[in-house]
Amino acid sequence: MIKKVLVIDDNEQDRKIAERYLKKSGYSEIVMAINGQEGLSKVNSENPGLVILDTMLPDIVGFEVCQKIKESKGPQAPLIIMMTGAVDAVDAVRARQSGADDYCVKTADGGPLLAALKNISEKDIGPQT
Amino acid sequence: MPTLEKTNRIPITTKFILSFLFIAILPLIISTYISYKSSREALRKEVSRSLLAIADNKINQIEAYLNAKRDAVEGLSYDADIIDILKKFTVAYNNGGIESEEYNKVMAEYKAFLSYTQRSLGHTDLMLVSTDGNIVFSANKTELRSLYEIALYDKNSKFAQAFIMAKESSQIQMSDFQYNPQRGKAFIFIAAPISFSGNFLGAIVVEMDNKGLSALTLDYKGLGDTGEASIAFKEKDLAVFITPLRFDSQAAFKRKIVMGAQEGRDIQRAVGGESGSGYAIDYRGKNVLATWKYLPSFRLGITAKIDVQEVFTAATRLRNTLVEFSLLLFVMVLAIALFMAHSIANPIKELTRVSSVIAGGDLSARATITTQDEIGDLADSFNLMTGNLIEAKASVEQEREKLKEQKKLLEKANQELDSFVYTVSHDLRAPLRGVTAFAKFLEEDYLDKLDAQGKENLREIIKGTSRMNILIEDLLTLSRISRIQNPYEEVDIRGLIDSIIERVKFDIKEMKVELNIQEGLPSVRCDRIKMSEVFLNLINNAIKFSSKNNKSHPRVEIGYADTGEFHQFFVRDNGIGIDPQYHQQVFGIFKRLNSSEEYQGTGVGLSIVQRVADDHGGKVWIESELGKGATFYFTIPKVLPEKPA
Repeated sequence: MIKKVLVIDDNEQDRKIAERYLKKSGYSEIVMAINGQEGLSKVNSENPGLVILDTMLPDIVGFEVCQKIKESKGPQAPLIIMMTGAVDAVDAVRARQSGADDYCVKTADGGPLLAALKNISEKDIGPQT
Repeated sequence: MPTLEKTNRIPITTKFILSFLFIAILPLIISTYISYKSSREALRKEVSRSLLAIADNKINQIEAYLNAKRDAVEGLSYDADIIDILKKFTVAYNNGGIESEEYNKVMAEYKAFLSYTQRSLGHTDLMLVSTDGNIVFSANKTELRSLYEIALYDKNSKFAQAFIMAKESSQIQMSDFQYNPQRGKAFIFIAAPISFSGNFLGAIVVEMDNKGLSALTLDYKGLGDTGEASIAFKEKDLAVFITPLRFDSQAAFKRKIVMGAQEGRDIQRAVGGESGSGYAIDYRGKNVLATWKYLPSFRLGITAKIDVQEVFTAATRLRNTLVEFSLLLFVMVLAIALFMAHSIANPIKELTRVSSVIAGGDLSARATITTQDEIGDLADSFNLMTGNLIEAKASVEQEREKLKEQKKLLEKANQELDSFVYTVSHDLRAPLRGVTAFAKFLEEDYLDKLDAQGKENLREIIKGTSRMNILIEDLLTLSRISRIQNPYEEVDIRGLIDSIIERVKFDIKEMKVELNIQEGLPSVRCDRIKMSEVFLNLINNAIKFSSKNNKSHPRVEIGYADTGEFHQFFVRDNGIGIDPQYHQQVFGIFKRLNSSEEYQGTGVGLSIVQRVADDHGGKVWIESELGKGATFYFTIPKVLPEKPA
């Protein structure tokens, strides 16, 4: 069962919204990173079980961050949900190609994120136990 | 049949030449012919008249010559001395013959006188003949006496004939000419009877050769190069010339014309007893203008004639001059015609050539015609026109260039606007999301802690955020429609509509909307995604309006018409309708004629419809009146415009 979740997002409000829905879904330990670089180092230092990754980061493109995490950690890599504020929902394919485990759009009510988390928790049962 | 037309085509140059020749040559030929004819007639009359005068004169000379000869002999027959001499010779001859002393005495006495008389009259012989036909005297007695004796018994002898006729008629007689082969000459005999106191005593007979007559006929004065006079007598069926001819010096008594022959018609008529004048064929077979006369007392035919060719030499010369002149004129007229034709046709050809060059697109072509006439003016006007055309084209080109630039600018501005709208909408979404989320969290976490006013305020915040969300989503949809170009494909419109109906079937069922879709909708080449936006918006619109206005029987109708160039679709509702004054406005962004409370949506839907129709090169419009429902039409061209790159 995942304890620690890393949220990588440059938008403070989005981080807070994500945090609320993560907590609502039962994740208690949540760490934040505000750009790709920080995110990558925190993946190593904090060793989270799940990463919520924004597609648009100020320094490194989210997909690249995703790819790097998956490549560097190999089988021990955390699960990754990519989250986007973009309108055009064409990034799903790219997200999958980058190795993301799920994908959702940012909304105020957090519906897509909750759905993704539910998906993930079902997946999580496998390797973590 | 273009080839036939081609062959029937007569170039303008040929037409000019033909008409010019027709106008100029025809009168020339006619006038030349008439003047030749009339001059020829005048000349012919003139020449004929003078020739006939000369011929008459010639004939008169000959007749006068013969008459003089005869008169001289006749004079001698009445001479008392001659009568006396004849008596004496007759007596002496009868008494002892020519050998007798008496005869020699008479001879000695009168020989000199008679010989002188013979020579002075120009006769070759002078004879005295007794009543019984004996020649009792001859001036050339030694040579001819014996011949006369024989001749007297020869009934064909001209000499004898002359004597006998004179004796029988008691009148002077002339024999025909007779050729004497021994002497190589022809002779004529003139016999005049001599009487005394009513008794016939004998005759004086002179022998005359043709020398005198020949001298007359050999004088060609006034008869030109071919004119001559000729004399002939008739011997059986022959006309025998007695003098040399101009073109046959050996003709005398050798040249004979058979009566009835083609040649020598003039002399045939003369010896045949006719007198007259006109055209004839002479002994050479040549056409001559002749006059002929018969002298009955001499039984001689005389003609005077001249070759027609010579008579008309002047006329021929005139004709040649006229023909030469006409030919010269013809050549001149032809040259002028050619010049005129070319001077008119060449500029026209030049203009035609230049205009076809210009028609081919080369506006720099210019007509190079400098003539100072209407054609020159035409060429100037033409060049001016072409110049204006270039200017006009240049200004059109300039305008087009300007328009292109403006269009580019507009497109750029539009793109920028679209991109701006997108960016703004996108960037607005993040903070809006924050506001919405935290308002929601506030509601979730603290609603109980707020009083009534606080609760009301929070609800207004949430309402506002939700409206703003819709606005921003609409804006993004609209800008997406503009930004994204999908490839054109063949779209089955009925299938497309069915899939849209599937998406809105909840509303249809809820509002109890009666939906009519025309059968046989076509397949249309278009952007499938955009086209589905169009139908979605129109159908949504129609459902919304018809159900609001006509709650008992909301009805939506979808139909199609083929207008040739375009596919024309319509979506009709039986809603409240739209006042025509707002028909243009409704397609603007966020134009909504109804209060937002009553109708959902922001009105961006019709803007999307318009944008899609514009993108495809089609149109969209409304037919509606307030209270009577509305029909939204839109067209898609069958041949789509190029997609922007």
